[in-house]
Amino acid sequence: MLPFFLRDPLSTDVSIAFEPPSRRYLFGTDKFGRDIFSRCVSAARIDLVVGFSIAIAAMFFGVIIGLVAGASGGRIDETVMRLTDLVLAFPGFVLALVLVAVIGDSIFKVSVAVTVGFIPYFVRLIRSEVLLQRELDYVDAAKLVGNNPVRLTLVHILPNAVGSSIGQATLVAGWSINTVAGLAFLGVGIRPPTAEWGVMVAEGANDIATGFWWTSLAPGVLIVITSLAFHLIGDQLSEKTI
Amino acid sequence: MLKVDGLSVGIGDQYNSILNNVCFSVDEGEIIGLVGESGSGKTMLSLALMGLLPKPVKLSSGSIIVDGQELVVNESKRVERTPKQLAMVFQNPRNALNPTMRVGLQVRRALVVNQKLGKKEAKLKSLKFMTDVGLPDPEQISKKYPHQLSGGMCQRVVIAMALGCRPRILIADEPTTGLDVTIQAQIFDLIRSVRDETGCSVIFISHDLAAVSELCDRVAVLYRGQLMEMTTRDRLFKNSLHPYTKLLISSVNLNVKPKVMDRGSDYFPNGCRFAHRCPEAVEICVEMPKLRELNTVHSISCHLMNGNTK
Repeated sequence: MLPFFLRDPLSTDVSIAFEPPSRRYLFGTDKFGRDIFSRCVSAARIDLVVGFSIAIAAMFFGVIIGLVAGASGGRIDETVMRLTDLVLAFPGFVLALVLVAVIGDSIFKVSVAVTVGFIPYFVRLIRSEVLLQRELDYVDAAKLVGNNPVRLTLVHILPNAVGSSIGQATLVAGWSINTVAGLAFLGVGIRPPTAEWGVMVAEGANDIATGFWWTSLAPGVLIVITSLAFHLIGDQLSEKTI
Repeated sequence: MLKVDGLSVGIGDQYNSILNNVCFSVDEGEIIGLVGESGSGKTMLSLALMGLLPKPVKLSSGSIIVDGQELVVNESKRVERTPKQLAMVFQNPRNALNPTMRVGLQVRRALVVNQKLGKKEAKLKSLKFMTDVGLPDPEQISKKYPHQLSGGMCQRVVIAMALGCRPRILIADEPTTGLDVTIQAQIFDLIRSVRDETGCSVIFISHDLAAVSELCDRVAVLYRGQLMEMTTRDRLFKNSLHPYTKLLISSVNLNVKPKVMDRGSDYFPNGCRFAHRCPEAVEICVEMPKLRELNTVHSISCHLMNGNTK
């Protein structure tokens, strides 16, 4: 028998199905006899990577769009803001659900769907910061020295406007882990037998009633801990930057 | 050097609500003081010259001539940027520097963008300018961020940046309000030595009469966008003729309680803008007085000087 940290998260063995948590099977096993601990660890790869990528992608596009809107003003600004209103009008989760239904459900496509819902938060944040910064004297000073508008925006305004988005990005990383797991729980997005926390909670949900409580417990607790951790970090970061 | 003629600035229909028909000129190497209370249009005048008027505010008429060349007013009714001739020192030095950029780089960028210098040359020049404005150890200071420097040092950096533009006219908009008195005196010395070395003219905006009396050659008094009086420093403080100037100067003296009328600000909607508070107002003050040259060094806009008395 391999030690608990070396077991294959996908290998099944019905002879050890529903083993309760023990020293041999740290978090127990599920109905196919897969080791829940190794599945949880392997799922962290997907969940954390997906969470970070969504946050970074949403921030990247959000910053670009928000910067353009804030710096150009006028009709472009108005259009962009109404579009973000449009996206924000849907609850993020429902939007992701619909998008996944439309574009398909590979891990990448799920990430794209969730990202779209988070972009407007960054657009609004950056835009408001840009509007604030561009009234300050140093922007006028830089303008007088002869910097062109593009340089002014990229070199002078952007570094001063981007700070609060970093805290926001950490919060979004937490939310997106929740969202991805939630989608998987509902059976859209990431599918079994892939080891993913939401998938594991969904699979185990049926077995709780028959007394096998451990099948959903470990992945569920991990989702809570991870998103809580991101939120706490995000909160601290936002406080520091304001 | 600089000649401003009939400059009016306003918002929308009220074409002259902010500045009304302001005329003055600045000679080479002269330090002009621009005084007035809050809201008198001092800063708007400087912003109009720099082409930095905020969005709804428009340059409705008048011309600005620098070195015999009229500044171009573009279709959005603002002066096209003319960084080669005009440079500005801002009110609060900390706000005038980008907080996320090392100060040395900011001075260097000013040289690269404005003077089209190469990187190496700009670096040497920037260190020279920073030495010129009296910053000790410019090598070290140029590696610092604005929040690591004191207010006085920040203001020196801002002045170094302005010098980097090799201005013909330096506009200093209350450059010492954020600084304490000793640093104020040092900044005045610096402005004077800048003037002596580069031969540029300085427009010094302030509400501090003591500062103006120390630094300036000539003084212009502004009230609610109207140029009240302009004359040499000595004449202004010893022999001012305009009722507003007299009151303004006497307000500094704690022993004298100035007598000011209060008739409500719309008492004379089209007249002299000081009429509603003027203790010497007469009937003709319902008309706007023209700025009149009493002699070569003294202009005034007041009906009382046109032979109308009580």
